[in-house]
Amino acid sequence: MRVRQQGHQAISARQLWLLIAASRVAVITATLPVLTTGRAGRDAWIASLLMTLAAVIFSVLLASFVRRLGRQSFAEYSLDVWGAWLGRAMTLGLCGILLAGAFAQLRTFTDLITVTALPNTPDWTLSIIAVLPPTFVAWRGLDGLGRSAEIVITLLALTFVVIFPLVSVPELEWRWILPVMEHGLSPILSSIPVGLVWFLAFSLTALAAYPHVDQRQRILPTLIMGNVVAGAVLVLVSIVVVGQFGPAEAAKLLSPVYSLVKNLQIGGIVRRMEILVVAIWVPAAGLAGAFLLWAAARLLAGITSLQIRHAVLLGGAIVVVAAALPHPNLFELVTWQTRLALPLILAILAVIISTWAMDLIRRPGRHTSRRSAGGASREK
Amino acid sequence: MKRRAIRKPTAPRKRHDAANRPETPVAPPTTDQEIEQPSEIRISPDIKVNRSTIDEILGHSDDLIQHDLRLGGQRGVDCTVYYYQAMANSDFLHTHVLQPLVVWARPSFYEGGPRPDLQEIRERLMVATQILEAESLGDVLIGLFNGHGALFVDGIDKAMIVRAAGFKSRSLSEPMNETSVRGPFEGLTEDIETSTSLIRRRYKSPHLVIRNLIIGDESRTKVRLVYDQHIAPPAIVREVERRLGQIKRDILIYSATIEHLISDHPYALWPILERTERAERIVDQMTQGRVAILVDGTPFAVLLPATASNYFWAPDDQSEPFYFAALMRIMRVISLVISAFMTPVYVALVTFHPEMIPLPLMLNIAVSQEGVPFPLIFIAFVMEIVIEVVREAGIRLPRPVGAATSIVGTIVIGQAAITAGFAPPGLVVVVAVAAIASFALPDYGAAVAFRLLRFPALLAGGLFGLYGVSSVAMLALFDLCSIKSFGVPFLAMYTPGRGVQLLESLFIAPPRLVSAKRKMSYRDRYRAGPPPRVKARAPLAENALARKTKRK
Amino acid sequence: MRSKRAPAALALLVVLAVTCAGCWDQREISDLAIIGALGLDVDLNGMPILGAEILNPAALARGVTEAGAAGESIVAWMMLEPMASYTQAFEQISRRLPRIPYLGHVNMVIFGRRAAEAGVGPWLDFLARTDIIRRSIYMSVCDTATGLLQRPYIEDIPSLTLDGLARTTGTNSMSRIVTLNEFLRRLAEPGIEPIAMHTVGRPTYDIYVAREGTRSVQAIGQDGEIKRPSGEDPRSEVDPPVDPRQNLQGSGLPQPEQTVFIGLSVFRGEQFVGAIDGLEARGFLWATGGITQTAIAVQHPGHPDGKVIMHSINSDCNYRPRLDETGLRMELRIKATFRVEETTLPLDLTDRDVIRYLEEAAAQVIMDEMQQTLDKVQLEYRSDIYGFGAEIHRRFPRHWRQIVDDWGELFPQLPVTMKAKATVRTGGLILRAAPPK
Repeated sequence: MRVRQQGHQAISARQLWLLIAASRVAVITATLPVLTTGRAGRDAWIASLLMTLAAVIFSVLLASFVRRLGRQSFAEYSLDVWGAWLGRAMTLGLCGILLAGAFAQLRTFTDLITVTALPNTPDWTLSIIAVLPPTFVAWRGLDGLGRSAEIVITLLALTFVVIFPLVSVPELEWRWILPVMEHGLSPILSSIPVGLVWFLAFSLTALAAYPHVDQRQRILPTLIMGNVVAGAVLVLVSIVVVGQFGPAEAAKLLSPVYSLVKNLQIGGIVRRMEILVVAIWVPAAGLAGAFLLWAAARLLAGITSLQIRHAVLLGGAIVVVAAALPHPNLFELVTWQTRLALPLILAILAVIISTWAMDLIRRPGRHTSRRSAGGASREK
Repeated sequence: MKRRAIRKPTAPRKRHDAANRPETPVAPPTTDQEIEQPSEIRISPDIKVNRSTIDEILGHSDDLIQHDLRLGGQRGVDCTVYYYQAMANSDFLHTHVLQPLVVWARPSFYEGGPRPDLQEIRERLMVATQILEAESLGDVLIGLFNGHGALFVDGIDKAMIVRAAGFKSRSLSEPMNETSVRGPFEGLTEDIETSTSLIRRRYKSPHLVIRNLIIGDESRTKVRLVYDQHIAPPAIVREVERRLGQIKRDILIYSATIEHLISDHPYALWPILERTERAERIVDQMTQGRVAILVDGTPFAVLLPATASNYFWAPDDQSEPFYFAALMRIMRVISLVISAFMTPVYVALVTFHPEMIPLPLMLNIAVSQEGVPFPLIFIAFVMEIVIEVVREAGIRLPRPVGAATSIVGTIVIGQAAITAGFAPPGLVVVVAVAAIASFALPDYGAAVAFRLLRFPALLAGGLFGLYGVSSVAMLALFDLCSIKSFGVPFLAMYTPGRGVQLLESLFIAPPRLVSAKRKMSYRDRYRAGPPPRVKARAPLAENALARKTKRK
Repeated sequence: MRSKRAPAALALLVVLAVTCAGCWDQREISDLAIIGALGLDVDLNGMPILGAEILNPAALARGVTEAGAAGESIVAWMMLEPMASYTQAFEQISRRLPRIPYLGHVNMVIFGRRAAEAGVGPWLDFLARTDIIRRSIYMSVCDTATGLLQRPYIEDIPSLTLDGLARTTGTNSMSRIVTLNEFLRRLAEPGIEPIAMHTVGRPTYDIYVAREGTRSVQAIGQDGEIKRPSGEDPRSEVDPPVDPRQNLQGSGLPQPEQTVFIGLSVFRGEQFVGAIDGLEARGFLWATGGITQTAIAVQHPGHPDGKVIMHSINSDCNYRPRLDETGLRMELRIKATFRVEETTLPLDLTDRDVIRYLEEAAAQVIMDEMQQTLDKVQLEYRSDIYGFGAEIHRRFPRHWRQIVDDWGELFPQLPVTMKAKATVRTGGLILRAAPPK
């Protein structure tokens, strides 16, 4: 067995997809269904299904793209392809997207805690408490994240797959979910981007983590599995939420998943299980934020001379400061997510495809070996 | 010459942190001999000089026995036998050293004969013992301190160290801290030789390797590394030897010191290495590729590398049916969680989320807290501290007084606190249950760690409710997930998808399911790659046992 | 060394942040005034009144302390407050209380009849928006809500009584639990109308109506009598309560000297239009599949003055909307399974004809009940609480889109046919009764 030295972070393929899936599911629990059901109504589950499909297609695209990376990280690669300044700009753009994602995720969850459990506690305190553990685990390195994902996914599976159907199905009314597509395809299509952008964001984190993955030839099934699992949970959640509340009522709620959980009870005796479920969500939300933060730091470390862990601290500090500010508040955040979703998706696609195209143009003969098994690349 | 001349100058103390050590390979002491002391004092052929030197250096202690002899009458040879009364087996020395010397020294042997030399004395006299020759006084001192006898003969510039150690140590008794119902009752003792014998008796394989080390400049403590050379991963063995070799201390008394010095995360809350008192545990774990470190003077051996599933092992797991052990293991995990989080969760629920408590219970709690003047979190802290004080006092109480006082004390304290209106009864129950749960954990270090975790969790729970407790739990979880013990991730056994090994770590797999040839089970399979191939040494041709147990 | 300091600094920052911050949301449980139920009434002047039933833990806790004094002890207080909004009312209540009102254990919301007739919509936003009240609380309409909450019976606390009573409606299926969640769902969806539970109790004449400048606190003793605070003038009536006994003729239920969940309240939109009680409610529940356990009585096959009581095991109902040239119509198909529970005269269950007779009789009873309820709901109340509209929406979405705005007028004219099929499964331990001597 190789004795690893500190700082040399590696993650297995299986841990990667678990990480993606767990983080994605954690984001789902906060506000996403409302963003979906708002326009799609009864067909929220179809929208979720199409979202998953689009995410899978993007995964295939990404998996083909990373083959050109070989042993480099995306930062080095974009510096090669685009030159110094444009490469840095591209990487910084992606890094900014990931940091914004981390901020949005942590902020949303913090606001959910404020609304539900601790209404009088000031925001900045909760923001600090929400951001510090993810910074800590991201600072410890990617392998810590990977192993945490394996455990967190168990907790999430417990709440979503076991508790949800067991308790919610009795009150589920299928008539709220049918008829299907009565308003045609357009409301469904218009509600896809807002969820899809999160799928893409976590695929970007996989891109940033790519140099650290063992068994890199398995990146395609990894990405697909991560997105499919998360998508399946999203579909399940959409069905249950709309079935429980009805499409009109579900669209009104801030966090339908949370309101759904408020209906859980055990035998009429223990009636307010939602606090317990929220407590189980806390590590998942922290993990999602940590992963996004780590990926942003990895990209940043690639283009500057910082070490990864110092970049994590920098990113964490930025997120803390941003999260402690009063604006954007939760409603603005929801609005921005809705409005910026499609432009962000297009931006991400543009960056990936243009980098790929530029590489093909400049170095058409460059054929990177596909088998880059074992051995993570040296990071700075 | 100076009394203190043989003490070599020690380097200034540095932080003995395993991860911070430079990578320069220092060959660890591997021979059976003690570390040679660069002593300038050579043994002089003149016995009077030797006698006076030793008298200078060691004469301040009265327990050094000096037995002067004259071999061979008036014209005979002077010799002196030194030994420490308490350490050496004086009967042995008398029978096998002094008596033969005296007998041999009858004048008829010596009339006009040449001066005897060491070899002759050795051949003639010492038939039953092991003898070493020492050239420097340093070796003589080491021998004396290890309980051997030293023989100086006039005219010979070497001394003979006779192995005759016979100090008393504790006889084999049941391990105090790891009791079992139907397991063996022999635990390791403070004498490292006895402990080694317990291990050897249970593992009669030629692949069992025992390496001797001496750690501690003044205490010269014997430390032994025990492993199976064909199963233990060589990288781990090398790393352990390297880290042990870099320990520079004056004294080494406890195995906990070694644990702290070679651990990857010495300041972590959780123990990263396991310590055990049971010989069969060491043997069982050696077949899984672990390495044991025995330390002379303490009955606790260190087992490494360790993972979190070692917290939940108890001696009864293998001696009882496996389903019983499986259930008990689940209970231990639950008791760990209870001991760390029960009081914080209770405080958080009552002060922040009373809607979670069923209404009749909540009314009872409300009534019981009616007369209590302090906020609940304050009382919770006080009660926790009281419980810790009681527990600590229970350790220190003299045995005749112990049981009665602790029982009465806790009952009286609890009941009186409730009646006086100082503490709400619900809280007392919760605190007591949490305290008891921490003792259900077999691993004492882990129990302590999670008991300590209770305090920050209590603080967080009192300030931020269940969200605070959950954040502390999340921090603990992330920390456990990121630490490694000698390259093995600490939570390695709890990752899904490991088949029988997962079964073994969560529950206990029945022996039939476990493969007869134990494989290395501590690899993180996705990270370490295929196992390094160990070159099998040529088996002893005549030894069928060796052929049968040859590992690939 | 640097990398070792960072986590320590991080940890220190956490500890500092946490300890310097203090705790804002902490509440001592003995500082809380636990509210068990909320009642909304409207007095004769049209002013809405909020009634909060505040529990007294000392009288209700079982055997914990010696503080449970015998004799006269107050189990709950009823605080009445005129309200423009919930928040303002709670503020005013808390000015009179030495404790903080706590809504986490609110079990049910009861609307007075006049308040419900005026529309409950404005009063639902707070209940849905605030986190502390869960959506699974029961909703009910009563003649006088605040009066109802003053009547303890069997249990010590009125709201606990009501909670238990609500949960035992399943034993006779003449009402069922309706939660706030279901009410809101039905309210939001266009093809179905909301329902709530309907409660009656001993008619109460002595509601203290709050006036400007005076407030009221009424203490409820363990014997059920209301102890009025001394020195205050007697009240006026809120409104003459409706005598609910008329609806219970023939249902076999006791005349309500005590509180009972007697049926269901029918809403059209957010306004209460009427109640269906007793067997009418059961007729509704046959159609919507809400029957848990109930007993029906049919005439004995051999003897006209004998009865056979049958107990339902399960029941199911399917809606089949049909759209053809004659227009839209609805078919209901009910399937129910029964066991013979009790007979007053001997009965031979091995006879195939007897079984068939019982089945047909049961089916007829079901259809009669359902028809009776349907007539009342369709013609008198004109509110689609069955959810026919939602079913049409599901089956014929395009047609529904055309008629959705007129559904209020179309529903009373919707032709509904029913088919009931009953099966008798078991008959207990007695196959056939011995003929009388």
